[in-house]
Amino acid sequence: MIISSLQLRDYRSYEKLAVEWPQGVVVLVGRNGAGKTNVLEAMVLACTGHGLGSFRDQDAVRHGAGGYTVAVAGAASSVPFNLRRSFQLPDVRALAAEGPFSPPANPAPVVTFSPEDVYIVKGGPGARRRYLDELAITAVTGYRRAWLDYHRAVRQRNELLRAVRKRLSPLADLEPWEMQLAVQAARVHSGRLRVQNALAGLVSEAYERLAGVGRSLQVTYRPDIVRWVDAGADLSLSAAPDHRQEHLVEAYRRAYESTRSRDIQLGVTAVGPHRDDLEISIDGLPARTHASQGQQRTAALALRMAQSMLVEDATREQPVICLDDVYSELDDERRHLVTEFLMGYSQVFVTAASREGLPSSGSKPLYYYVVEDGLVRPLTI
Amino acid sequence: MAYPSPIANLIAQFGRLPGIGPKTAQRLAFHLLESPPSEAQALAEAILTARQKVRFCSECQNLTDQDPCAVCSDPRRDHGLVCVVESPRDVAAMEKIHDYRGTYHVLHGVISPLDGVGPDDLRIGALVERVRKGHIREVILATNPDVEGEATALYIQRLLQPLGVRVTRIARGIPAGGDLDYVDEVTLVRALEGRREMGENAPNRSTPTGNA
Repeated sequence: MIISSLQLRDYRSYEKLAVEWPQGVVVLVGRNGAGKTNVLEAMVLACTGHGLGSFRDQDAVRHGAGGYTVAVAGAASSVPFNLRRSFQLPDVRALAAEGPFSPPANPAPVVTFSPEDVYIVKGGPGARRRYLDELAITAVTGYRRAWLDYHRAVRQRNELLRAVRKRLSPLADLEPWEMQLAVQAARVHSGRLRVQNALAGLVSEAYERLAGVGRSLQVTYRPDIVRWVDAGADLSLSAAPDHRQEHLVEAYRRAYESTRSRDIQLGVTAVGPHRDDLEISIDGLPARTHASQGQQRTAALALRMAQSMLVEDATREQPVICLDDVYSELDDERRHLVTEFLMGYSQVFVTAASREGLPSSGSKPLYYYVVEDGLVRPLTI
Repeated sequence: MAYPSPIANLIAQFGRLPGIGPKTAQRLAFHLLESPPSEAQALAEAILTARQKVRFCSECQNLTDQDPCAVCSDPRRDHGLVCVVESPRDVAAMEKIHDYRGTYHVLHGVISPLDGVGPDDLRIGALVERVRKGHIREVILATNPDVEGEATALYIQRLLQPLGVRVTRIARGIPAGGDLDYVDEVTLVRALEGRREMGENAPNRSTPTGNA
């Protein structure tokens, strides 16, 4: 996919902006607060309907304006498209599309990287589950439905656990919910396992290319349920051509049964995919505790690059890559490797605080743009 | 501006109905006040008559103006076959197919602890009573295929199992006459899960619907 132009009106720091983009690696250079990330975010927003981080529409309206519009034009599989998102205060959203996509159900493939992504590596399991889920939603059919149903069933069971504790409901009422929970948990489990299987090779390939030959990054799905089943129980995927994995359903059903009395005391469901983790290790050591900040950032970037490969496999379309502040905390060697890696994509947007220490070209040219005073203009060297 | 109390009361009554906001309530009230008195009379009588005449069928718990209801008192129906649904609207949907000749049982909801709805708040006890009487061969569970509908179906199945009645669950999957490439992906995945054996020894070869 290619984004050939971007137009903004009253978006964050921009009153009006229209800019044309080349293919290849585009580097947006500007001082802190110049509005580089805003440009990146606007493109992600127009393509996917989601902003970066904890995005809120009302915060994205330029101070004093009544609403914003972001629009991109581009092409996917050589078919041109136009995507536009607008928002009017206090609360009117609109998405419009021409061309092959109908967002937000089937958004244009964009993969983003931001400095906060380092928390996938060094933060708690919640950030890693979100990463896994994001991938599974793209790559595994029906995953989103299963994820929603699972969390709904957890809430239903939790409510019932408290009613049972207060003796308002009989113990037997829990059984149908545990069966539902087990069916959905098995779907979520198998979706995450599928993603891990697809991801493992991609992650190590991406890391080796970003960090140098001989370096290794491994991801391993760590389902919470292993704490509750007999050692040696089969929790792998069966070859059945569907997501209903009977042996997994049975394992989860037993786990919920065995934790029932404890769960009643606590009033919450203690076991299940909502407690899963994805173990990340660098050169054989746990990345969360044993890696440097620079290694953690490279690992986070490798996870996003592996995601882009997975998205490409799933959608048969090379995603546009948007990287916020990727070069900071990397040494010259890694900057070079990162740049070479990015040149394999048809289009990449990168922000950087200054040109200093960045390559002026690699095996292909780099396109530098200067962001200042509400303008984005190509830098002629 | 404050309305005279009869008007304010009428607006408030309309406003309590589902899907009616304050503006619509106002519009309805003024429409009635501006139309001939006979229209208001007719509406008031329709509401009262419906309220007085319509009650729950003592057999199937559907809404009816005669007890037992038209379906339950129809001798041409197969009374050995009961289709369990969530709401009277589901009965209307099933009746549209003209092919189902059994009877119904309306639960008036699904089990949902989050909404404070337990099994005792539904007409499940009445269903068990019907089955216990012994004339019923098969109970078809036709609750919606969502989390609550599935849990409710499972709950009922556990209750009925010991009574020796055949309990079945409606299938889900590809719509009849549908093109595979138009079916949404989740439906396709679930249809794959619910695939059936074909041929001589298939266990699910015949599913009686009472229309034989």
